[in-house]
Amino acid sequence: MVVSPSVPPISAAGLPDLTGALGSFPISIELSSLVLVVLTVLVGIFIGAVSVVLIYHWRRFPFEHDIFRTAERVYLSGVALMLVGVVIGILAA
Amino acid sequence: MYIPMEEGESIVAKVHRHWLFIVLRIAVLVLLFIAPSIIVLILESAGLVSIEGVSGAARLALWSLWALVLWAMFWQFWTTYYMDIWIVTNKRVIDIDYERLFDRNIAMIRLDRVQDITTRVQGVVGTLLRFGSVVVQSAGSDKEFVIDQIANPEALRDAISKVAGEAGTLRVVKME
Repeated sequence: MVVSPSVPPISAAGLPDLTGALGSFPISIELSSLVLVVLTVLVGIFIGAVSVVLIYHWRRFPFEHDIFRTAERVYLSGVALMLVGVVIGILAA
Repeated sequence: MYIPMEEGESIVAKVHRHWLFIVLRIAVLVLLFIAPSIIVLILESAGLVSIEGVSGAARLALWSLWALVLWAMFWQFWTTYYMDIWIVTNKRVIDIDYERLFDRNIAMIRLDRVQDITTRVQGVVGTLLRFGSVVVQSAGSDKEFVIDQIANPEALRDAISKVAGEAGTLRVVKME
């Protein structure tokens, strides 16, 4: 079977006219709540894994207990704050 | 991870890498934080993309998710930086070398085996910000013990030589 390649039309400048092939611009981006929820779940899995690893290290390191205890509080407070932003955004979207 | 202290052993100094090396990583995170806004702005002004269909609330959610990812990365960087430490005790020097989390290398050298201590400050940035290396040479070994990219290496050299001085014939060489 022979497949003949489709040749795009040639523009006035002598270059292939790819306007139709690339679609129309501007590309309009829309986000549904479902997409946001899926993204949140994926990021949540990532953050959960990282949190376990970080807290595991902070609690086992013997030389800097005080600073790592503070780090744990600051880290978890930041995570909670940003999760509030995510939840508010999803509920309002 | 646990490094048992010997009887009568006490910590003389704890040394981290120079702050410049964590600041460089934070600068990358800041760039990553603003990069999506800049890219969208450029694409919008070029007429390639329109985000009018994305509500303010959805943008807040996306921004928070992106900030959350970068927040976790920051703490990973900071933890690796902070756990990468050299500890000088009155009996030995301990190098806890963290490349990444779960990727560490621990080396020790006993002070009674220390022969030479050399400090090295290289380059304009190193000289201006006062960071460099301390190289500890032990007796009966060709291996060097390198404490690299630390702030004020002369102070650490003095601390090691002070506690190691009574152990033997310690020779201090300063190179800049």
